[in-house]
Amino acid sequence: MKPAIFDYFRATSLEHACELLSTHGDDAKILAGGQSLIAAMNYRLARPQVLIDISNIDNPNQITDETTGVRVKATTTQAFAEHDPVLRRRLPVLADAIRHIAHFQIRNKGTVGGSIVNADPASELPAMSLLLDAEYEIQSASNKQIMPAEDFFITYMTTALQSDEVLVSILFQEPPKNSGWGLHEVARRAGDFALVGSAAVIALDVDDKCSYARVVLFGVASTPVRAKEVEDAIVGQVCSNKFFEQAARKVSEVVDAESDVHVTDEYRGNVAEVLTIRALADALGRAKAAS
Amino acid sequence: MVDKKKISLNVNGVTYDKEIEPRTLLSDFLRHHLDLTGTHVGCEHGICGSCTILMEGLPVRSCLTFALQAEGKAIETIESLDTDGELSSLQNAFWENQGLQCGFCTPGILMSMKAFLKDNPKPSRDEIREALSGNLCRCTGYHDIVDSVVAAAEAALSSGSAEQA
Amino acid sequence: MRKPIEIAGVTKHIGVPRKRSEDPQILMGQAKYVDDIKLPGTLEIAFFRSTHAHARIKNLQLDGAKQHPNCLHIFTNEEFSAGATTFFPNTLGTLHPVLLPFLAHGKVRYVGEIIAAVVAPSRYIAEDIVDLIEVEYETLPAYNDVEDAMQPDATLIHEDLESNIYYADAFSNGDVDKAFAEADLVVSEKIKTGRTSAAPMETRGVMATWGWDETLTVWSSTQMPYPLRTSIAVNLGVPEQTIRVVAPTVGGGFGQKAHFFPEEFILPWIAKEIKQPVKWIEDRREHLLSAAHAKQCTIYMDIAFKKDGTMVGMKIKNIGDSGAYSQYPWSGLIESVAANNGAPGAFTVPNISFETVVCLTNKMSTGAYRGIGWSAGCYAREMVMTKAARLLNLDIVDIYRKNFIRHDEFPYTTATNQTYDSGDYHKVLEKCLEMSDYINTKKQPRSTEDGKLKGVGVAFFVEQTNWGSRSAAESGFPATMHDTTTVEMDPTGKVTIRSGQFSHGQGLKTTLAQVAAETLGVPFEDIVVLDGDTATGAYGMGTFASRSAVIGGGSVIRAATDVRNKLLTIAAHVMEANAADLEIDEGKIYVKGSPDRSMTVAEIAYITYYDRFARPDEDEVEPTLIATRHYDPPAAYANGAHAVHIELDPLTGKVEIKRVVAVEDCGNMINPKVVDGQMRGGAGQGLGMGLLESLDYDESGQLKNASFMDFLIPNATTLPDIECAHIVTPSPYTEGGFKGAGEAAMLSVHIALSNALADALSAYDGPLVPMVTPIGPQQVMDLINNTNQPEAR
Repeated sequence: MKPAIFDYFRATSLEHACELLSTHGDDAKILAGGQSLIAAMNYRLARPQVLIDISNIDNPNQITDETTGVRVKATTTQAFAEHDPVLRRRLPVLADAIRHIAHFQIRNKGTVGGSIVNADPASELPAMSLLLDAEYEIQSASNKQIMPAEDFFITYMTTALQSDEVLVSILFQEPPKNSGWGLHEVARRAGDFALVGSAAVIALDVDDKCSYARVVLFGVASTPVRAKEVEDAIVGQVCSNKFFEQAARKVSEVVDAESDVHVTDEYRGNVAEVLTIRALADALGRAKAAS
Repeated sequence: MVDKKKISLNVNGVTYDKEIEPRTLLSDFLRHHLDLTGTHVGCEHGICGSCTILMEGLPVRSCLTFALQAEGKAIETIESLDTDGELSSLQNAFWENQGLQCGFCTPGILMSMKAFLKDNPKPSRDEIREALSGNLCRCTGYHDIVDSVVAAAEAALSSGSAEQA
Repeated sequence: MRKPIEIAGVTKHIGVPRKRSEDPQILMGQAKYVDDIKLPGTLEIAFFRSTHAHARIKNLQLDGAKQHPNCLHIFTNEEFSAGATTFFPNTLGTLHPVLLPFLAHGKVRYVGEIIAAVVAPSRYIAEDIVDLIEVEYETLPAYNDVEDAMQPDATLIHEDLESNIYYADAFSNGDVDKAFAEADLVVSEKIKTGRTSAAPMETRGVMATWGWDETLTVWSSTQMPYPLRTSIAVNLGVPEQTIRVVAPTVGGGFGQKAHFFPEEFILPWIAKEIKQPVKWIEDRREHLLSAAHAKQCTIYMDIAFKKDGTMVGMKIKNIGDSGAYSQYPWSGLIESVAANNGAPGAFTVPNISFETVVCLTNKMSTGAYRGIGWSAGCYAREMVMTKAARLLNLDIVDIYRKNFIRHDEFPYTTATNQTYDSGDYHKVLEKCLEMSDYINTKKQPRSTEDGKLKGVGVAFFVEQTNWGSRSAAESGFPATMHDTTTVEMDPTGKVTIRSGQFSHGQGLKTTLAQVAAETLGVPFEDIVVLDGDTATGAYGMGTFASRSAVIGGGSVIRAATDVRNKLLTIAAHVMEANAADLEIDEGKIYVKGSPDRSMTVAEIAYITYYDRFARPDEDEVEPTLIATRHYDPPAAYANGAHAVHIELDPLTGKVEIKRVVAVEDCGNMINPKVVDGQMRGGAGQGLGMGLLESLDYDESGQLKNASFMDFLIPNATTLPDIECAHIVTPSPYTEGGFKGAGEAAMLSVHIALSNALADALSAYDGPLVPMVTPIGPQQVMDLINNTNQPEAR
């Protein structure tokens, strides 16, 4: 299919983009990589009347080292991020997650910000945002704000971003020193959207007890979800795979899945548990190796 | 109605100046405005990979790119691979190893592999399969394509040049 | 029947894996597919398609659309009311004709059915205009499952029929009841195979133009240019001799493009109506909605066994899901009738009864796709055999060996009256077992250290190839289906093959030239094959049903032999020798034993055209070097085996394919590399069918996955290397001893995959044998958890 008619503006700066958004409001959409948006437009599922192209504003790819983590400019391509040495060193789970996104041809153009704003609950970057306590820098013509990722995702493909706002950058925060990570997903083919995914980060204290735990699931609800009940069950405990089997049962508190052509909601719930055990096991292994 | 926009695109080393509707996809621009029909359209949702071209040397989906987004970026399509009808080493490897049957997916695969081999001159079969996973083929079952890429890599190494495609 | 020409083993041109002459143009991006062909002034078409599965069309509003400044024309059934009925006379049961209107007439019967055609300067604009069309639907009950549509109180999908079932037959041979009564074990299962699409990388496309000289030229991405020409003539009332159909380079077909689609009549009609060239290029969404679907059957399969594994009887009911229409031209029988007629497979089972039912539903109609109904039919038979093997404490290999037709029993007529020409099934099976290390693997533990399960499966197939009149009849489709080829040598001694076959990936420009080179004795490079254009080819049914090597190759052999004989007759006169003493090799004609007494083929050709004093008297010998011959061979049955190794994650149901082995016996091979390509491509599609592919409609008849996002075909990491081997038992009946090779894997590899799954799960209480395709993660977990299985019998 071919896209419906739209008018096209190339933003020369962030301010220019915000100005255009103010003028065109609900009729306009931001175009960065377009890998989600153009696909939807080709199906005429999305029909913005105005596109504001931000992909050419000075140095679209920027990744900077900051105290608490790594800041990624929203227009940075996924491929750039995947290969960035700072990101790989400080946030290996994020680098790994990005490698799961579609295929390298998509990642060469798709952006980190674009995938986040697209808010597909089965995609990796929104989930990584929750896992890494991401903070989103958001700007409009009249306002700037920092929003924590956990406030950003409302439901399927829907975020708290207003029609006159643009996502500027994302600060992914580094987990505690010597923490370990794990990421498991089930997809039917390499590069497909995950049917279910689970990511975990664990840090251990001197007594080998868990001092920090983060567990995030994707593909099991209308947004990515933090499995707080699983985290609470783990923190302060001595960890083992056996223990994780128990703790992982609590994913049922946050799983609110749907059935689709591939698998049922029940499958998603069951497999969320299985993958969480595996993600935790990997995280434990890496945490032990790090300390 | 929206006004047409002027566009200047550099494709295979040549600059083209045209006027187009903003919604014109790069795939359609190449195929219908420039008559470069070697780039094929198989799905228009970025999955099959038949439309893959190089933008600044990176493989991207021309069906998920508006032509206007490609301004200022060098585009390479399959028509740039041969030299006056003489096949490049990469193309030749596909010919020798029957890395194609109906040929519809082939342009996207050649462009993807040109870039892949530049960064990965000695890939294993598994690495090649991973790299090919973004290009769907319905005819070959992929085996002969993998053989072709292995052969292309070997040919490039033995002739001592990294960019043989 | 005259004795066919025998080719012994590998010769100068036959059995040679030469690279394909068509490839350089494709590799350079110069090959022209239908959307690459540019005619000045071409207008583009977008279709307004139904969004309801079963509804009456009330109040179609075109005014808003017609007011669009760029709207050139909108056509509906009001202007073009033609349609077609598929009708095979002499089928076993009564085939009630089902009318397919090319543009919907008063009601729609599946989501995607064409209601209106919009003509505009570009596809982009045409879609804008389609958006402005409004319609009210009066919805009717939509049927997703055949067994619901079959009920006596079901709403009629075609109101001129008495039932949604439009075909039923029954057949019996031997004493089935007695066999079942005396059996040691009877296994009865209900098998439901998934719906899929051939999904070639190039979607369909049609371009048509009406010339100043009142000729109609139609380009279509089709596998059957000549029959399409005839069909356009008949359906549009245009004289056939004024029509030219061109299949340009075609990007894959697999049988799906061997149909006549409404678009292939609408476009020519519009071109003639408005006297301007028009083009329609299908997008992928349209493709998944409205290009022929395939493989969905509901099969009740009962097999009776002796405890040593001997199969003594089979009882089958095959319910074909025809979709909303009877796909034109093969009809909706193409799955179930073919399946039932091939039910005994490679086995000597003597007592068989089958029932076939073909029923309409509110989905896209079902047509031919590589392997047709054999994919589902063989799957049903083999899954029952696998289950029986487990219950009898045997391996499937034991059952194979017990029931195979033996090498010395050919030609063998099966219980369904198909006569298999030749084969050595035991040898093929052994080769496959050896290559895949099957026996040893079966002795090893199934579990791996990291909690996965390993499994290996094997499957054997017999494939009916070269679909000519006799093969078609033996499969339940009596019809006349031969091809012709013209071989022509010009004054410079170069050769043109005008073929009724048409390649859409099979490399016929190379393989037919190989056959011609062998027969004529001229260099391969001196031969050009013209196929796909009815202005320059020869009448033939086209390329599908594994028929090109045999029928294309065979008719080339016959016509080339005629030309060769003529050449030698003329050369004998010119060289003052006996024709019987002359040889032709690499373009040189020489006297056997005296190689210096020679002339070139080019010299003799030139004399034939331009030197009436040197050539024989024109009243005795026609001074032409052209011959057209038909070929309509007896059925030839290829066979082979597949083995698949998998690793299964029993907690997620994810199956990884680790190794695939393919062994094929397709008789003599023209080009083994091309055959390998068919084996590997077929395995890819077969594994896709077995593991990933399912077109899913919801209860209201909406297709839930009309995109490549959710309709999944294998990518390069789904499949491992496909290890190939060839066994050769030539056909004693066909020219060259060739048999067809295209469909093989679709009768077998998905079975090997499911057998591997059953093997991986062999430690579980069961036996757990899947009775569905595909076996995605959900289906695997269902099997393990014993939920959601087709009802137990």
